[in-house]
Amino acid sequence: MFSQNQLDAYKNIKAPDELFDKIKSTKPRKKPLYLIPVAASLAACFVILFCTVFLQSKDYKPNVLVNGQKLDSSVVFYDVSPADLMESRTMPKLSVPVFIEAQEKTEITVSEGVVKSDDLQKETVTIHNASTVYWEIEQTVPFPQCTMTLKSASGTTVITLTQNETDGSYTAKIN
Amino acid sequence: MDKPSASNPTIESAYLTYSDMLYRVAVAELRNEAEAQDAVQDVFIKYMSTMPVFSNEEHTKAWFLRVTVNTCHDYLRKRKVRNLYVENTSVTEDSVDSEGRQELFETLASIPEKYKSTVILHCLEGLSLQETAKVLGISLSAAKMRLSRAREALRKEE
Repeated sequence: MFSQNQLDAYKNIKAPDELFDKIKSTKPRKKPLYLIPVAASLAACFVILFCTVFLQSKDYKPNVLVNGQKLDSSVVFYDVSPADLMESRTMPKLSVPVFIEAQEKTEITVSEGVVKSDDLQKETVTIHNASTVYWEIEQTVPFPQCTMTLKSASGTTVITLTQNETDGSYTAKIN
Repeated sequence: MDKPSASNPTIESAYLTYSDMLYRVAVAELRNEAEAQDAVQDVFIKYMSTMPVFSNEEHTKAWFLRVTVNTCHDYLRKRKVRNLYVENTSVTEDSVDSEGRQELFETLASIPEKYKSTVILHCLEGLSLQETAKVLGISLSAAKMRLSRAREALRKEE
Protein backbone atom coordinates (compact mmCIF):
# COMPACT_ATOMS: atom_id res chain seq x y z
CA MET A 1 0.00 0.00 0.00
CA PHE A 2 2.83 2.39 0.82
CA SER A 3 6.27 2.58 -0.76
CA GLN A 4 9.39 2.46 1.42
CA ASN A 5 9.86 6.16 0.65
CA GLN A 6 6.42 6.92 2.10
CA LEU A 7 6.96 4.71 5.13
CA ASP A 8 10.28 6.40 5.87
CA ALA A 9 8.67 9.82 5.47
CA TYR A 10 5.98 8.77 7.97
CA LYS A 11 8.49 7.50 10.52
CA ASN A 12 10.43 10.77 10.24
CA ILE A 13 7.45 12.82 11.39
CA LYS A 14 8.32 14.10 14.87
CA ALA A 15 6.38 16.23 17.31
CA PRO A 16 7.83 19.76 17.34
CA ASP A 17 9.76 20.79 20.46
CA GLU A 18 7.49 23.71 21.25
CA LEU A 19 4.43 21.43 21.53
CA PHE A 20 5.30 20.28 25.05
CA ASP A 21 5.65 23.88 26.20
CA LYS A 22 2.21 24.66 24.81
CA ILE A 23 0.74 21.68 26.66
CA LYS A 24 2.44 22.58 29.93
CA SER A 25 1.26 26.15 29.71
CA THR A 26 -2.36 25.03 29.49
CA LYS A 27 -4.06 24.76 32.83
CA PRO A 28 -6.34 21.74 33.03
CA ARG A 29 -9.53 21.73 35.09
CA LYS A 30 -8.53 21.06 38.66
CA LYS A 31 -10.52 19.52 41.45
CA PRO A 32 -11.44 22.12 44.08
CA LEU A 33 -9.01 22.19 46.99
CA TYR A 34 -10.10 22.62 50.56
CA LEU A 35 -8.36 25.49 52.29
CA ILE A 36 -8.61 23.71 55.64
CA PRO A 37 -8.07 20.04 54.74
CA VAL A 38 -8.12 18.70 58.30
CA ALA A 39 -11.37 20.40 59.22
CA ALA A 40 -12.88 19.39 55.89
CA SER A 41 -11.84 15.76 56.42
CA LEU A 42 -13.33 15.72 59.89
CA ALA A 43 -16.53 17.25 58.58
CA ALA A 44 -16.68 14.65 55.81
CA CYS A 45 -16.15 11.84 58.34
CA PHE A 46 -18.96 13.17 60.50
CA VAL A 47 -21.31 13.37 57.52
CA ILE A 48 -20.46 9.83 56.42
CA LEU A 49 -20.91 8.52 59.98
CA PHE A 50 -24.22 10.31 60.33
CA CYS A 51 -25.48 8.92 57.06
CA THR A 52 -24.30 5.43 57.89
CA VAL A 53 -25.81 5.26 61.36
CA PHE A 54 -28.99 7.22 60.97
CA LEU A 55 -29.91 7.01 57.34
CA GLN A 56 -28.73 3.67 56.02
CA SER A 57 -31.76 1.64 57.01
CA LYS A 58 -34.14 4.13 55.42
CA ASP A 59 -32.24 5.40 52.40
CA TYR A 60 -29.89 2.61 51.39
CA LYS A 61 -28.23 2.96 48.02
CA PRO A 62 -25.51 0.51 47.06
CA ASN A 63 -22.10 1.70 45.97
CA VAL A 64 -21.64 1.15 42.26
CA LEU A 65 -18.32 0.98 40.44
CA VAL A 66 -17.96 0.94 36.66
CA ASN A 67 -14.63 -0.45 35.52
CA GLY A 68 -13.23 0.23 38.96
CA GLN A 69 -14.45 3.84 39.21
CA LYS A 70 -17.04 4.69 41.86
CA LEU A 71 -20.12 6.43 40.54
CA ASP A 72 -22.07 9.29 42.01
CA SER A 73 -24.17 12.11 40.62
CA SER A 74 -21.21 13.73 38.90
CA VAL A 75 -20.12 12.48 35.49
CA VAL A 76 -17.26 10.00 35.46
CA PHE A 77 -15.33 8.99 32.35
CA TYR A 78 -15.65 5.31 31.72
CA ASP A 79 -12.47 4.39 29.97
CA VAL A 80 -13.09 1.41 27.71
CA SER A 81 -10.26 -1.04 28.09
CA PRO A 82 -9.40 -3.47 25.29
CA ALA A 83 -10.77 -6.25 27.49
CA ASP A 84 -14.22 -4.62 27.43
CA LEU A 85 -14.57 -4.88 23.66
CA MET A 86 -16.22 -7.99 22.36
CA GLU A 87 -15.65 -9.25 18.86
CA SER A 88 -18.78 -9.98 16.96
CA ARG A 89 -19.62 -10.93 13.42
CA THR A 90 -22.50 -8.55 13.27
CA MET A 91 -22.10 -5.64 15.66
CA PRO A 92 -19.27 -4.75 17.99
CA LYS A 93 -20.27 -4.92 21.65
CA LEU A 94 -19.18 -3.34 24.86
CA SER A 95 -19.02 -5.49 27.95
CA VAL A 96 -19.09 -3.01 30.82
CA PRO A 97 -18.00 -4.42 34.19
CA VAL A 98 -20.30 -3.06 36.91
CA PHE A 99 -19.57 -3.83 40.55
CA ILE A 100 -22.65 -3.41 42.74
CA GLU A 101 -22.12 -3.44 46.48
CA ALA A 102 -25.59 -4.81 47.17
CA GLN A 103 -26.51 -5.67 50.74
CA GLU A 104 -29.96 -7.06 50.01
CA LYS A 105 -31.90 -8.56 47.14
CA THR A 106 -31.52 -6.17 44.19
CA GLU A 107 -33.29 -6.43 40.87
CA ILE A 108 -31.41 -5.19 37.79
CA THR A 109 -33.08 -3.95 34.61
CA VAL A 110 -31.47 -2.23 31.62
CA SER A 111 -32.86 -0.07 28.83
CA GLU A 112 -30.33 -1.43 26.31
CA GLY A 113 -28.41 -4.66 26.05
CA VAL A 114 -28.30 -7.49 28.57
CA VAL A 115 -26.76 -8.04 31.98
CA LYS A 116 -24.69 -11.15 32.52
CA SER A 117 -23.37 -12.80 35.63
CA ASP A 118 -19.71 -13.07 36.57
CA ASP A 119 -19.13 -16.17 34.49
CA LEU A 120 -20.63 -14.48 31.41
CA GLN A 121 -22.66 -17.55 30.70
CA LYS A 122 -26.13 -16.47 31.66
CA GLU A 123 -28.19 -13.35 31.91
CA THR A 124 -28.99 -12.24 35.39
CA VAL A 125 -31.59 -9.93 36.79
CA THR A 126 -31.23 -10.39 40.54
CA ILE A 127 -28.29 -10.26 42.94
CA HIS A 128 -28.30 -10.74 46.71
CA ASN A 129 -24.91 -9.44 47.74
CA ALA A 130 -21.91 -7.53 46.38
CA SER A 131 -21.42 -8.73 42.80
CA THR A 132 -19.81 -7.86 39.51
CA VAL A 133 -22.13 -8.08 36.53
CA TYR A 134 -21.34 -7.42 32.88
CA TRP A 135 -23.55 -5.11 30.92
CA GLU A 136 -23.31 -6.08 27.26
CA ILE A 137 -24.37 -3.35 24.85
CA GLU A 138 -24.16 -3.26 21.07
CA GLN A 139 -22.05 -0.36 19.86
CA THR A 140 -24.59 1.04 17.45
CA VAL A 141 -24.02 4.42 15.84
CA PRO A 142 -25.28 6.66 17.32
CA PHE A 143 -24.77 5.02 20.70
CA PRO A 144 -27.99 5.37 22.69
CA GLN A 145 -28.23 6.70 26.22
CA CYS A 146 -28.39 3.53 28.31
CA THR A 147 -29.76 3.17 31.80
CA MET A 148 -29.37 0.43 34.38
CA THR A 149 -31.92 0.45 37.21
CA LEU A 150 -31.20 -1.22 40.54
CA LYS A 151 -34.32 -1.84 42.65
CA SER A 152 -34.33 -3.15 46.19
CA ALA A 153 -36.70 -2.91 49.14
CA SER A 154 -34.83 0.16 50.31
CA GLY A 155 -34.83 2.18 47.13
CA THR A 156 -33.94 2.61 43.48
CA THR A 157 -30.65 3.61 41.88
CA VAL A 158 -30.37 4.53 38.20
CA ILE A 159 -27.04 4.46 36.35
CA THR A 160 -26.74 6.25 33.01
CA LEU A 161 -24.11 5.42 30.38
CA THR A 162 -23.67 7.72 27.40
CA GLN A 163 -21.17 8.25 24.60
CA ASN A 164 -19.87 11.67 23.67
CA GLU A 165 -20.47 12.09 19.93
CA THR A 166 -17.52 14.45 19.58
CA ASP A 167 -14.68 12.41 20.94
CA GLY A 168 -16.22 8.96 21.39
CA SER A 169 -15.55 8.85 25.12
CA TYR A 170 -18.03 7.15 27.44
CA THR A 171 -19.33 8.67 30.65
CA ALA A 172 -21.32 7.19 33.48
CA LYS A 173 -23.15 8.63 36.45
CA ILE A 174 -25.81 7.87 38.99
CA ASN A 175 -28.99 9.89 38.57
CA MET B 1 3.83 13.13 45.03
CA ASP B 2 2.72 9.85 43.45
CA LYS B 3 5.44 7.82 41.86
CA PRO B 4 4.85 7.61 38.11
CA SER B 5 4.08 4.13 36.89
CA ALA B 6 3.18 2.45 33.63
CA SER B 7 -0.44 2.45 34.73
CA ASN B 8 -0.57 6.15 35.58
CA PRO B 9 2.27 8.00 33.82
CA THR B 10 3.06 11.62 34.61
CA ILE B 11 2.37 14.11 31.84
CA GLU B 12 6.09 14.36 31.15
CA SER B 13 6.66 10.63 30.80
CA ALA B 14 3.45 10.22 28.78
CA TYR B 15 4.62 12.96 26.43
CA LEU B 16 8.09 11.43 26.07
CA THR B 17 6.63 8.02 25.35
CA TYR B 18 3.69 8.83 23.09
CA SER B 19 3.99 12.32 21.59
CA ASP B 20 5.80 11.35 18.38
CA MET B 21 3.42 8.46 17.73
CA LEU B 22 0.32 10.58 18.36
CA TYR B 23 1.67 13.43 16.26
CA ARG B 24 2.39 11.08 13.34
CA VAL B 25 -1.12 9.67 13.51
CA ALA B 26 -2.63 13.18 13.71
CA VAL B 27 -0.57 14.42 10.73
CA ALA B 28 -1.65 11.38 8.69
CA GLU B 29 -5.31 11.87 9.65
CA LEU B 30 -5.42 15.62 9.10
CA ARG B 31 -2.62 16.16 6.55
CA ASN B 32 -2.05 19.50 8.22
CA GLU B 33 0.73 19.95 10.76
CA ALA B 34 -0.76 22.98 12.53
CA GLU B 35 -4.03 21.16 13.15
CA ALA B 36 -2.13 18.04 14.14
CA GLN B 37 -0.32 20.04 16.84
CA ASP B 38 -3.63 21.36 18.14
CA ALA B 39 -5.14 17.88 18.13
CA VAL B 40 -2.25 16.37 20.10
CA GLN B 41 -2.38 19.28 22.51
CA ASP B 42 -6.09 18.57 23.06
CA VAL B 43 -5.29 14.92 23.77
CA PHE B 44 -2.77 15.73 26.48
CA ILE B 45 -5.03 18.37 27.97
CA LYS B 46 -7.75 15.76 28.23
CA TYR B 47 -5.27 13.41 29.87
CA MET B 48 -4.31 16.07 32.42
CA SER B 49 -7.95 16.88 33.11
CA THR B 50 -9.21 13.34 33.59
CA MET B 51 -6.04 11.51 34.73
CA PRO B 52 -7.48 8.11 33.81
CA VAL B 53 -6.07 5.06 35.55
CA PHE B 54 -4.80 2.31 33.28
CA SER B 55 -4.36 -1.35 34.03
CA ASN B 56 -1.20 -1.74 31.94
CA GLU B 57 0.90 -0.10 29.24
CA GLU B 58 -1.12 -1.65 26.43
CA HIS B 59 -4.19 -0.02 27.87
CA THR B 60 -2.39 3.33 28.15
CA LYS B 61 -1.24 3.27 24.54
CA ALA B 62 -4.70 2.25 23.31
CA TRP B 63 -6.29 5.10 25.24
CA PHE B 64 -3.97 7.72 23.78
CA LEU B 65 -4.38 6.43 20.25
CA ARG B 66 -8.16 6.20 20.53
CA VAL B 67 -8.52 9.74 21.85
CA THR B 68 -6.15 11.04 19.16
CA VAL B 69 -8.12 9.36 16.37
CA ASN B 70 -11.44 10.62 17.76
CA THR B 71 -10.05 14.15 18.19
CA CYS B 72 -8.82 14.16 14.59
CA HIS B 73 -12.21 12.99 13.36
CA ASP B 74 -13.77 15.85 15.26
CA TYR B 75 -11.40 18.29 13.55
CA LEU B 76 -12.28 16.81 10.16
CA ARG B 77 -16.00 17.23 10.86
CA LYS B 78 -15.48 20.86 11.83
CA ARG B 79 -13.34 21.38 8.75
CA LYS B 80 -16.19 20.17 6.54
CA VAL B 81 -18.60 22.55 8.25
CA ARG B 82 -16.20 25.46 7.75
CA ASN B 83 -15.90 24.62 4.07
CA LEU B 84 -19.64 24.72 3.68
CA TYR B 85 -19.77 28.26 4.95
CA VAL B 86 -16.58 29.54 3.39
CA GLU B 87 -16.99 28.79 -0.26
CA ASN B 88 -14.07 28.39 -2.57
CA THR B 89 -11.65 28.33 0.32
CA SER B 90 -9.78 25.10 0.24
CA VAL B 91 -8.06 23.70 3.26
CA THR B 92 -4.44 24.03 2.47
CA GLU B 93 -1.87 21.77 3.93
CA ASP B 94 1.36 22.96 5.36
CA SER B 95 4.21 23.07 2.90
CA VAL B 96 5.48 19.62 2.26
CA ASP B 97 9.17 19.33 2.65
CA SER B 98 9.87 15.98 1.18
CA GLU B 99 8.90 13.95 -1.82
CA GLY B 100 8.14 10.96 0.37
CA ARG B 101 5.75 12.95 2.53
CA GLN B 102 4.06 14.42 -0.53
CA GLU B 103 3.49 10.92 -1.92
CA LEU B 104 2.32 9.72 1.48
CA PHE B 105 -0.29 12.48 1.66
CA GLU B 106 -1.45 11.75 -1.88
CA THR B 107 -1.90 8.07 -1.07
CA LEU B 108 -3.76 8.89 2.11
CA ALA B 109 -6.02 11.30 0.21
CA SER B 110 -7.01 8.42 -2.08
CA ILE B 111 -8.25 6.26 0.78
CA PRO B 112 -11.92 6.71 1.75
CA GLU B 113 -12.28 8.42 5.14
CA LYS B 114 -14.00 5.50 6.82
CA TYR B 115 -11.05 3.20 6.17
CA LYS B 116 -8.27 5.69 6.78
CA SER B 117 -7.77 5.24 10.52
CA THR B 118 -7.44 1.48 10.12
CA VAL B 119 -4.81 1.96 7.44
CA ILE B 120 -2.87 4.56 9.44
CA LEU B 121 -2.74 2.46 12.60
CA HIS B 122 -1.98 -0.86 10.94
CA CYS B 123 0.05 -0.05 7.82
CA LEU B 124 1.84 3.10 8.95
CA GLU B 125 2.05 2.88 12.73
CA GLY B 126 2.60 -0.88 12.70
CA LEU B 127 -0.10 -2.01 15.12
CA SER B 128 -1.37 -5.55 14.66
CA LEU B 129 -4.90 -5.86 13.29
CA GLN B 130 -6.02 -7.05 16.72
CA GLU B 131 -4.55 -3.95 18.38
CA THR B 132 -5.96 -1.72 15.65
CA ALA B 133 -9.43 -3.17 16.14
CA LYS B 134 -9.27 -2.63 19.88
CA VAL B 135 -8.11 0.98 19.55
CA LEU B 136 -10.91 1.75 17.11
CA GLY B 137 -13.52 -0.18 19.08
CA ILE B 138 -14.38 -2.49 16.20
CA SER B 139 -14.23 -6.21 15.68
CA LEU B 140 -11.21 -7.91 14.14
CA SER B 141 -13.26 -8.89 11.11
CA ALA B 142 -14.40 -5.28 10.64
CA ALA B 143 -10.77 -4.14 10.73
CA LYS B 144 -9.80 -6.74 8.13
CA MET B 145 -12.68 -5.67 5.92
CA ARG B 146 -11.74 -1.99 6.13
CA LEU B 147 -8.15 -2.76 5.22
CA SER B 148 -9.22 -4.88 2.29
CA ARG B 149 -11.55 -2.17 1.00
CA ALA B 150 -8.87 0.47 1.39
CA ARG B 151 -6.54 -1.65 -0.76
CA GLU B 152 -9.30 -2.08 -3.32
CA ALA B 153 -9.89 1.67 -3.42
CA LEU B 154 -6.19 2.33 -4.00
CA ARG B 155 -6.03 -0.26 -6.76
CA LYS B 156 -8.91 1.44 -8.56
CA GLU B 157 -7.08 4.77 -8.35
CA GLU B 158 -4.04 3.39 -10.14
